Amino acid sequence: MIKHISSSGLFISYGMLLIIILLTNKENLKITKDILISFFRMSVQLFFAGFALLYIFKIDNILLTTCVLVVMIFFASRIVIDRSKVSFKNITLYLFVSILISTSFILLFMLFGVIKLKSFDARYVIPLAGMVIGNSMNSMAINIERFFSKSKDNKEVIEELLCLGANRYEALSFIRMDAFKASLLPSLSSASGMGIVFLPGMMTGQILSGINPLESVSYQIAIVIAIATSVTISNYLILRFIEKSVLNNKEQLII
Amino acid sequence: MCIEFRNVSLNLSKKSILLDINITIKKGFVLLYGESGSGKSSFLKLINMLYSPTSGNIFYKGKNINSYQTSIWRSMCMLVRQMPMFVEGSVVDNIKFPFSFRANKDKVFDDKLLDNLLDRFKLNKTILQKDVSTLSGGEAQRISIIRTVLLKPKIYLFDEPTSALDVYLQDDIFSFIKEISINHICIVCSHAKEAEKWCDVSLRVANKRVLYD
Repeated sequence: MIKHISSSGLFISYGMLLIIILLTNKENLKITKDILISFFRMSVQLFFAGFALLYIFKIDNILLTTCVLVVMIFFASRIVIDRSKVSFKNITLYLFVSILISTSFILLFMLFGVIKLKSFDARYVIPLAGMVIGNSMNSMAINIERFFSKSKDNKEVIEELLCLGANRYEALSFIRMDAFKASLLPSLSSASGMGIVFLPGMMTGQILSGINPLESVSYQIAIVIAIATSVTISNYLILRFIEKSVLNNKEQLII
Repeated sequence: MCIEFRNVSLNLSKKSILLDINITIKKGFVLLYGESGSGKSSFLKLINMLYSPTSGNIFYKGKNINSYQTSIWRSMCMLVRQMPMFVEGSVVDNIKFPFSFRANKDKVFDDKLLDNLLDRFKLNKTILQKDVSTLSGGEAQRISIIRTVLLKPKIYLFDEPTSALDVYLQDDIFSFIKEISINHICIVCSHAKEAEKWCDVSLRVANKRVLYD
């Protein structure tokens, strides 16, 4: 039998935030306001998402589902920018396109190749997209932050390579490698801890809502692979796009 | 074979650095001198396209250098920077690395020339296996010159190539530049007194202008 969380239980769970506030204050991090705002936002967004999903699943219209996907990707792009604290021309567009391409590819592959659905079912599309986009978002924030900070620290080396005849791609390759690796490592290392150290969110959710653990395993495996692949594609694409914001078309430094 | 500046001006972050430069540079050892901050390095960077003129154009053999693909142009016209930089690894890795660039794909690594240059610049062959982080300033400077010479560009731009070297080694470098300048345009920006006795002509950079002495 499944036991739901009651409203009082939910209220008590917020009590855990006190520990975060207490410890961060003790170390003088001065982020209490940020913590409160982000957890408040999270709560409102999730409640809103709950109601919206109810509605979207009921209607199950391909256009509506696609619109929801586009909105999700747009917000993911904005969050990456906020978190990585970098800004330059067209970054939102670049992020949007990178996530859009990787997510669309992975979704189509998962829905029709792996799960073998007959139609574009919102009940599958949205949660899957959420996991894929969310993971791409986290890794891309690491990626572009690393790419720009390392480019700034290594301007002289980049210029040296340019002087020796390197083109844009070649002059930035040592930076791209570093940023790409940093963005992929979390997904790869989390894959190796799965099942032993922790149960991934999706599987936990399925088990808590009463599904046989063995059934949820094959789903989880496919999804972990899908997430890692989409993380790789989106990070590769964004790296190719943002090269242009370090070196212009004349291959001159502009940071 | 000459580089020609036509009405070239350069502003950097809205500050005027060079103004209305009209000058033709032919092959030979061309010394570029002037006070620190007068725009010597910027002048060199304009030639190898690390900067683009704010106005005006630069021509090579009558062809606007803008019409070259940038990396191809830089593989023909190489700048040896004042502060040499290396990627992680050994000296030999760093010397060979630029040969992997697409713009340098037709260039062949010349082992004999390498031995020759090491000898000439009084470096022991064992330096090739050293990690670049262990090089002294003078060693790094000579290695960076060797790295560029092995790539055999048509035009050489040297930005203070001897700033970390003693007088004897300075002569080694300048006499070498003198030798290659028979067939190449070599523009050398230097504060060293030694350079004056080796150069064919000298260019003075002052008050945002570049003029022949």
